[in-house]
Amino acid sequence: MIITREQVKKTVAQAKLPIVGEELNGLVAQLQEFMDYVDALKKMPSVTASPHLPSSNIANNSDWQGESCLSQEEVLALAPDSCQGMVRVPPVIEHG
Amino acid sequence: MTTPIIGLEVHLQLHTEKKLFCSCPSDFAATPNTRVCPICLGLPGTLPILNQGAVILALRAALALGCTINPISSFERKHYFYPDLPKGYQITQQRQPLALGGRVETPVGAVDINRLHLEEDAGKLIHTGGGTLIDFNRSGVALVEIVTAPCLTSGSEAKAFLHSLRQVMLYANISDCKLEEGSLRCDANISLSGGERTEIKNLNSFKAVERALDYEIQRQGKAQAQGEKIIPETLRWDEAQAKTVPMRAKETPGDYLFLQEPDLPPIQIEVELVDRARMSLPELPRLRAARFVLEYGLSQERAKLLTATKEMADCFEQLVATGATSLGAANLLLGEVSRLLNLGGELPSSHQLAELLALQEAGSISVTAAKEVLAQMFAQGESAHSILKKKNLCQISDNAALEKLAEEVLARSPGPTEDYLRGKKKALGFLMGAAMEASQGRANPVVLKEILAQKITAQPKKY
Amino acid sequence: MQGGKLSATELTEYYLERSERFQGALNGYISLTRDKALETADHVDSVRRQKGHLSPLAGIPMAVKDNIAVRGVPTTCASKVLANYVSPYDATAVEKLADCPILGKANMDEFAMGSSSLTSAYGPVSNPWDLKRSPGGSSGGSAALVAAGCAPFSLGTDTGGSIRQPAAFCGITGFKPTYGRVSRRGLLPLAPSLDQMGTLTRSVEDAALVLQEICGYDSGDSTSAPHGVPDFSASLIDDVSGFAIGLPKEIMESCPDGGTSRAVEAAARKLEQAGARVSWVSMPYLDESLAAYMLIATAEAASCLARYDGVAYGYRHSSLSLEEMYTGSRIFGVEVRRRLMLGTFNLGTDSGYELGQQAREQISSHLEKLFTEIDLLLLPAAPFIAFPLAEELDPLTMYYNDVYSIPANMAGLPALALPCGESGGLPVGMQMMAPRFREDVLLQAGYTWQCRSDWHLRRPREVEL
Repeated sequence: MIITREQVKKTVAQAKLPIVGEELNGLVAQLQEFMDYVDALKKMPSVTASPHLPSSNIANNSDWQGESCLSQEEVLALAPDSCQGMVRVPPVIEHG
Repeated sequence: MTTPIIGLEVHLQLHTEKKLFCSCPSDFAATPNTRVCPICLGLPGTLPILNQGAVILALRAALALGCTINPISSFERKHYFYPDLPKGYQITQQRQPLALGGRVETPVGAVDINRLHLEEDAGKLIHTGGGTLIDFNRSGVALVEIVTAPCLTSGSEAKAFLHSLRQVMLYANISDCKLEEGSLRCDANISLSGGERTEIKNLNSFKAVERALDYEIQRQGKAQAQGEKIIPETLRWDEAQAKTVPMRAKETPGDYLFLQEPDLPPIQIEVELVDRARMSLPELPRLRAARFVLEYGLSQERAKLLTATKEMADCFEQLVATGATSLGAANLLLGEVSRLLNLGGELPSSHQLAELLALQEAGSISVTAAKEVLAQMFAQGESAHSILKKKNLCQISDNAALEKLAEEVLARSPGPTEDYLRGKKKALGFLMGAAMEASQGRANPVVLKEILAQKITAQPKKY
Repeated sequence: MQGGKLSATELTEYYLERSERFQGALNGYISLTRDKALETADHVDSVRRQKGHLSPLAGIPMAVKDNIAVRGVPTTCASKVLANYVSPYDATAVEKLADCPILGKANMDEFAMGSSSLTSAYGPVSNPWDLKRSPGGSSGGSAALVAAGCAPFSLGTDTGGSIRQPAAFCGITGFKPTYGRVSRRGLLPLAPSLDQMGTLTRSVEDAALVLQEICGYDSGDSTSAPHGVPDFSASLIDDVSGFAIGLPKEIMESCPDGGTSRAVEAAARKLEQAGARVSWVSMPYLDESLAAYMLIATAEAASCLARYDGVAYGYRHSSLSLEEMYTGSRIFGVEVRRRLMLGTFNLGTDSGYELGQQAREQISSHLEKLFTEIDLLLLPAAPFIAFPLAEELDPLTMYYNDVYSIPANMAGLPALALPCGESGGLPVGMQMMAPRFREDVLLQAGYTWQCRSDWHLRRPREVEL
């Protein structure tokens, strides 16, 4: 698989990372090296894979108490910005 | 014109007290950010714990729609950044949903269901001039998503489907299905055969679904006819402008990143659990209507009306069980009771209605009085007896009381009495009116009329 | 302490003083929590005076790796994105050790991504054996603090070797239990399907004591194992007669550090003299294991770290635009950014994660088969000894640090790292792996080893006073 700069840019956007310029160029090569490295896995003889997570019965956690609710003050104390009992962020542009 | 191809995605909030992956209450309209814990706020290091009650409700929903339950069901993380999504992903079911297949019968035909799966809700965003505000109370609330096959062809079909789906879900007590509170939400995918597909969101009433789809069919048709390309995009129904407007570039499934949820092992749905869920399902509307026809000799139409809601159908059967005739019970429920329900009332208890029916059938209450009692019952929730007592509405059928009443009226009205004796039969009407008024409408009119006629002719001639 | 000769407060004060004194040299803590520690110690002392009930480890202080949630104190994961984040809840393991005064939150690689503790946003940790060298990672602070005698024990986490490699670099005992043995509730994940909490202690005996407290089913973690926890102290027996030990031939022959392979082989011979049967076995697919690990761990990390968006908690970059707020708030260090890129990229490809999982099944089933012939595997804990802090390793070489430890995470096996010699004056660690839920085998073999060796008793000279 050949990694292009466009693909890396798309990945940067998906991961919402502040990556530009030199670092981005460097990542093209690193991603390429990584993908070449993991390509070796394709040569492994395949087994009939069972799911790695054992499935569970849904009644498993019936004794679970749960976490207690936080108070509005606690929620807002964690939040970087708040207003009227709610967490505030810059405007979401829904349409346009 | 080519045939429209419509598929719906319906989200229902499950009728469970707790959220899907934590134990926060999922009540509507609580003070913002007071139904939030470290799990549903996505705090670092927290783990989701599956709410069993939600799984059982979702199973019931699937069974009510005739879906096939997957013996193993898995969860996936669906990643996207949005301020209402505190973990940066939504836990949903992608690869092995809870159930596949199924169908909903509607008055205009059957609609196939592709899949039904569990997922968590996002928080609520409130857009203000000073930024977007987030209330995380809804974050993590248990939903089922029901996806239809792309088999609908018009707005009215979509609307009929939603009505039928809602009826079944209310019957099975899966969700309260309130569009206005967001416990039922609908998105639609639509294309004209051969054309690109658009998705319409923000459909917050059944009427909006119908109108938006009909609008979009027309819009796409026109564009096709003019050789324009349909842009595959997400649209929003703008009620005020009565048109669909673009929201954001169409999010195809490839744009979301999915990962099998490593914090939740896939769940085994055992046959016994499915059986138990099946047994806990009530008789669903179509079957119940059919049984009503056979068992109570009702017409198909009346049976269908009586089984429109589970409450109405239950009430009918309870009335019959307490001795009411099926005809009387059906008349009461489909007549005055339905009228009052349509005005926004809530169905009184079958016990209250049974009392009223018994009084009516025993002739101790007039039709007019019965209406008044019923109205009072809807308004105050009182029993028929206490209303009658308070309002003095009991029908007077007692002969002695009616004779006394007749005598008084005749004594007060010598003119009309004379007219009647002179052959003016109409005068009896006047006397009846006066007597009924004197009894405040409570006199049994049939008996009273007889007595009045008797009394006049029996009067000694004064001249 | 039970005899009333030493109070929890005195003991805590001793370790706090030592911790504070060496903080400048080691940088082992991200935050020191003196007040909280003394509060717990005082509580323990007063309960003890009133002859109330206390847990066996009550009053013994500990350091907690900073990716484990502790209520009321910063939990930063050595990252700037959580610089101001204070956890409102305790991890289950911390709850279970509520009577142990918490000295502080141990430094580590940012989000546990690294094998050097160099990627911490709060500066690198030094190895107490040589302050110019790395203590390993990611639980580097946890290991350095125990090695330097700043904490009697510490909690760490291990996703690909993050307890065992630093334990080896610092000459202490590191125990990663079976996946599911210790609740992950409150462990800030790197890769949830691989992460496991464990201990860094002076000895196997101490490890058994702490494991006894933290292991066990937790309904707050759906991947927690329902298995009962045996009495681990019952496994502290100086006896390996009849144990079948497998030495992986490929690893012993190819280990880049000759001192390490010699020390491990010598340890094997010593265990043989103690009655164990030692045989050469084959443990193939090491490179594949590392590759599969990178696919799985980066994909899961990219997913788990999506929540650090500056919206509801943690660092936020102020901006008028939501998009700028997002990218500006995700100020991870360069290694985390690299792994998030790898992870996001392979989540976006059709087969990346799947390919990793398939290889994982293959590796697990091979190990399972191996354990039908042997009771435990003996191998180096890491291919290298502690490397200089100044050394710039390229990412793939850095990832190679975990090549001997990763198979245990891939298959969910318990594994133990023990000091077994020296190479160039620095500690060498060997590693034992056993079948799932056979911590008892590791404790018994490890205890036997420590009864017959004194490597675990040696102390670094740098911090002797």
